[in-house]
Amino acid sequence: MSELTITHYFDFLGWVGIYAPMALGAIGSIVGCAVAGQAAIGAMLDTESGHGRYIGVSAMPSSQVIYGVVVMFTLNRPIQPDNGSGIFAVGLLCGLALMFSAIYQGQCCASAIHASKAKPEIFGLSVAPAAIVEGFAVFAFIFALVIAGSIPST
Amino acid sequence: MSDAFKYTLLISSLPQHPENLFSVDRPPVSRIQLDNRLALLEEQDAKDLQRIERLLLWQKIPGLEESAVFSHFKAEAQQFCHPFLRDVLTWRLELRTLLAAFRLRMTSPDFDGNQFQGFGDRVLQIRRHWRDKHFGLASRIPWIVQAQQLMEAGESFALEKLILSVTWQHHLRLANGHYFDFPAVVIYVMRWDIISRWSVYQAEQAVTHFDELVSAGLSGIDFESL
Repeated sequence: MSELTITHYFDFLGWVGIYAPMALGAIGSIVGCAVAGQAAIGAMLDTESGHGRYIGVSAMPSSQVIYGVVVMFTLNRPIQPDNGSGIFAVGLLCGLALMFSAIYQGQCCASAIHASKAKPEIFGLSVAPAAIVEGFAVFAFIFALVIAGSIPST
Repeated sequence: MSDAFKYTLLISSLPQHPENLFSVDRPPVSRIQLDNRLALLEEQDAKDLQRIERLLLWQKIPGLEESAVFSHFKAEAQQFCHPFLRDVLTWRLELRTLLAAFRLRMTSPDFDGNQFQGFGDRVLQIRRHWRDKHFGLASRIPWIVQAQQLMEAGESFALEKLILSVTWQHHLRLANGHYFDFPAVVIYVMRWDIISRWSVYQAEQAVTHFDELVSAGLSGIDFESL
């Protein structure tokens, strides 16, 4: 493989790694919010009150795309052969964690909305699983920021 | 979106069924409202749901001989795209097969059990144990003992209540693991049908409810001005 091709290869890896947290986080948030949003709309058809909190819960999976944007800016630096693979690994794995957490959080939110519609008194507890999933997304986000500091910038 | 969350909007828009079938005197939603919500189903799913409802509510198919009825149901079951629907239909037909065997043995004591026809894997067992009080199935189907006692005692209403209860519990078990998918919609409608059927048995409450509806409908009308 020629020197020019190796540079391109690491460039590609680096750019994928920089953009992956944002793109994968956005995909996760899209799916998660869509599922939870449908549950919220359905619950609004069947209930006379509490609509605001249904919408509030359905927006929970949107935080992952924000984490993804922050990680993207943190990883954004000149890409070189000695940092391209590191950026790729951190960015892609963090993005996957954010994506899956958003999708499954959306499912938790949909179940919470459906359950609390019939039993409003369990609303707080029903959101707990979604909050726990959010906690794992925060882990992925925080430690991506920490580990990004070890990737060479120049 | 995955199939598991295909009907999130539809399921969330429906009021939940009670835990206990006999604690309610009417379905949680009217048939008109239910049909409005079911308009959210995809075309094929809507057709499958209509077909299984029609088959499960089947009482009698005029003009069909017994053997033709069996082939008719077998053919219908094979047409379902979703294996879940085939299982639902098969279970209900097996239930009816058991009840039909009991009735046949009661009404025709001289009937040759080897000639008995029905649906499912238990037909051979029923034939072999035709003279056995519970067809040798009491250990596998606990409610069969009570059903046989009620049938012998001529307690039709109690027997019907038992069958509805058994079907209700079966649907509760089927609902495990299905929250927002097509099987969840099917189970919801099946349970709605059971409540609807139960509610029509309560004649006095039905008359009271009818009077209430009529009074509510006529409350805004000034008859003297007409």
